[in-house]
Amino acid sequence: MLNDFFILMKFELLPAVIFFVLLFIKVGTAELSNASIIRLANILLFINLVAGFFYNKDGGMFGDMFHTNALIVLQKSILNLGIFIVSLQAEAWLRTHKHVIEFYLLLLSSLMGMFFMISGANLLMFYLGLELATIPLAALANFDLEKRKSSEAAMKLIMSSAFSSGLLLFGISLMYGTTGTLGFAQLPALLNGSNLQVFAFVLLFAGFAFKISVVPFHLWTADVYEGAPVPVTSFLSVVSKGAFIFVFASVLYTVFKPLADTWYHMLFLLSVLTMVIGNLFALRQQNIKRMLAFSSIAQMGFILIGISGSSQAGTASAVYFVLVYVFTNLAAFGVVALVSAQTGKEDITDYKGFHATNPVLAWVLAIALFSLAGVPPTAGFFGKFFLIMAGAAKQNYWLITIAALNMIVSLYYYLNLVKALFMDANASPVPKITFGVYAKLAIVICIAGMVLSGLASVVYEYIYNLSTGF
Amino acid sequence: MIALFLILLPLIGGLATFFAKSNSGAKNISLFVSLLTLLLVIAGISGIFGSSLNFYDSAWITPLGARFTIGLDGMSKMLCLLTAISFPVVFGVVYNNKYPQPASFFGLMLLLQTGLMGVFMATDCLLFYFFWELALIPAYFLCSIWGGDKRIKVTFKFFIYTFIGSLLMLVGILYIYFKTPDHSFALTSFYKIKLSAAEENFAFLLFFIAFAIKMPVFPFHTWQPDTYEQAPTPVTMILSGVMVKMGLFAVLRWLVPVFPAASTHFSHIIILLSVIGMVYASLIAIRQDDLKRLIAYSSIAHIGLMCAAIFSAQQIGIEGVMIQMFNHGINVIGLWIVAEVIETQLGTRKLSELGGLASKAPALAIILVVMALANIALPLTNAFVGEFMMFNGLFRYNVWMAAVAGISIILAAVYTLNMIQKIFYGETTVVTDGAIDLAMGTKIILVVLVVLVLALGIYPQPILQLTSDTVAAVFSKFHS
Repeated sequence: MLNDFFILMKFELLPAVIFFVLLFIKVGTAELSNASIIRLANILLFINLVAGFFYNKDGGMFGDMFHTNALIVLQKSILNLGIFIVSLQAEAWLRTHKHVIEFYLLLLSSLMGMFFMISGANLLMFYLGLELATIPLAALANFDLEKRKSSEAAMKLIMSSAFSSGLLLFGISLMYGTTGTLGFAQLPALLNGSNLQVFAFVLLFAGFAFKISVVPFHLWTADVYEGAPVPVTSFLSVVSKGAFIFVFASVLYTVFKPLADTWYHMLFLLSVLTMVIGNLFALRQQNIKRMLAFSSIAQMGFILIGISGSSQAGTASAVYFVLVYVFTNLAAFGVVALVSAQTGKEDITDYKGFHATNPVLAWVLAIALFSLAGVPPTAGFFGKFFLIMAGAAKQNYWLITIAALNMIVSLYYYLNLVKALFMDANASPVPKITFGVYAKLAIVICIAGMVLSGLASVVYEYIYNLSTGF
Repeated sequence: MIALFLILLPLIGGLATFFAKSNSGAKNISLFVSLLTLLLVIAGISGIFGSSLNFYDSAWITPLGARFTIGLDGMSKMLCLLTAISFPVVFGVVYNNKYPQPASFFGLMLLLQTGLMGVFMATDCLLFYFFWELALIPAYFLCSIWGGDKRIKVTFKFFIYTFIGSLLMLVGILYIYFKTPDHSFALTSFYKIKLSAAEENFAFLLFFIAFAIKMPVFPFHTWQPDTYEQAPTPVTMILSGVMVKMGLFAVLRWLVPVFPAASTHFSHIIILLSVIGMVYASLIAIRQDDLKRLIAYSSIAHIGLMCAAIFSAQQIGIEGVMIQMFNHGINVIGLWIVAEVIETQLGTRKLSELGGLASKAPALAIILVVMALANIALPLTNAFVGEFMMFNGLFRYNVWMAAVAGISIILAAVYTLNMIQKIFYGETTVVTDGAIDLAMGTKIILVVLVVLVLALGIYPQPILQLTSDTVAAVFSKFHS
């Protein structure tokens, strides 16, 4: 029994252990240098990542409040990978920061919240995990303490998450009122599509839409991304969104399966809106972080297409895309983080002539941008392709055509940045960026991921075999 | 396995070239790899190691039913041979040129070859799409980093244009995929689909626009002259010699046999567009002062004829297309080489600034004349056979179409002879005074091309035999 407890909750316990180790270092008397704290934290996060692959078991606990299975393990491992890369990339920025340990404490508690949320088998458990995941994020967004924009970002994040949590809670309580239960196992049988239930579902849906910044619930995204420190932005855009996507897909596919007709139309509408508006706004951005923010909104629209397929491929393509997105977006944000940390430049025009001074970073960013645009042979192509395939199974070719047109629009602004990197001349380009072993390792992981997870089809096959649909 | 190595060899060679330290290192690796690929293609065509090696099949994305299936049939052999000949020729011609960042330049060239080989061999539609896009990326970087002054704008247009086509094709591929009985991307499954006329027409258009942009067919051609002009000449050679064949190849492999009824349905409009394009491009070519733009427009006219001949649905026309795909590649590369020699030597490619080169560079003059006459399909040159057969097919389809298309032959003679006259005869100008004749290496390469031009003009049988299986297959689909 106790053995089961440790194995089933391994993913939640490990971050907790790391959390306490770092906390004891903080309150202890020994003054460790930033470099050694970062080294220790990265090693621990790496162990955390590796340990996730061993001794896993399916099962439930706490009277069906908590459950885990092979797919959930994979999803948590993807998040572990994401947080490890983020931590590697944060080194350039944290090196001189006064509150290194706090950064890791907040990061880990947020991660733990996400794991509880993913493993939640009850709306209550899910909600607790969600809150644990989001509140530290607001503190993280404010981590550039001396910058006003950072505080503004934190304020916006906390307001919008409070609002979306309110929507979720309202939905959950109405759901409880109509069905008398919050358990994922019991709910589907009790859903009959009455108006009140649909209303409750819409509220829940809107809460989710806020978290994954789907249009029209996206307004906080760009401001928060711009204001927050870059490593926090990359955490928000990849790890946090990934976690919500996982939960969103699994909740729709299992708990709200009886309402599939309702949510199919909602997904269709929202994915079109999200892709179109995200892309159109991204076209006009001057700040590279804002551009990536809007592009990430547009990417969410693509994920919704995949989820709308409601098949085994639907889950698989969404999970696969998040994996690809971890590599791709973190590669892009990694380069932006390095440039931002060393020069403070964040405008697209600053990147003109970047290739002349930083050929390696320029190629990394270019590959990431092509992957975001979904151009073969990068993994991004396969990610988008699988999503579109999953959506096309519904034979809705309008959606597919709109998606294809949006890929063209997005190609335009990604290519514009590639053009700035390689071809535009600049009298004062970004000076040569030096990067340490942490950033190098992160880049290698991201590049390998972007190339291999696409070409090695076993990755998708593995995810596909774990996935379920209906 | 030969088929697989035809993809792997340029891929590995290209990646290795990226890490080449010196200028000559990059050149030598790429030249060596491309020659090795040529030998491999010849081995595959001759079948000395057994023809079963020409096919390779392995699992790829199993949940979707996509397989990594490649193979060499007649048309693939012919186009792979063309690709494999073109690259060493190009590398040989530019051997003495200096490029900034040579490692990246030659590495990208070999990656381009990887994509082209893959396109010509793939018999799984997803794999085909994958390579189709893969060929675009190196071309984009090659044009936009090493191109002319207006390269950025032009290449941007080129990339966006072709990407729009590709995505429409992707929608079409998915559409067909869900109609296949066994949910597979295999070519054989695509041949088995049953569609209503409306469905077939819809899917046909999705594919056709992608291919029409690539070929290019009027009115989708606007990217092409600018791109050819602005791209560095070695890249232009590949673009016009080999890459445009991707569009024609795709029509013959993925469009006509999969949608025979729609192909017949749309054949009138497509032939009309092609013929308009031929005359229109020829007329514009007459007015060109820039040598590269002239060759670019002449290329549009030739591609238009090939496209029209395919849709005329006559066996002789399709046979002519096969011959001409190969020969057009050889001829146009020959013309580009001459253009490249003139430009690197004299620093200009404006016809108005040239003149009297025949006395300064007799060997160059002779070779250009042979290539130019081949370009206007004079009898005894290789292009004559193909053009004759294609016109024959078009004639059987509709006399008036053939007659209008025939105008372009006359126009071709006008602009080609005009070009020869302006470059080689008349007074020498300030620019051409200092001209020297061909370097030895370039001369050898050009002589090889001239020999090919004449040999295939007199005896085109090898190509006809090589591609007869594909022609029969395509033709039988058209009339099923």
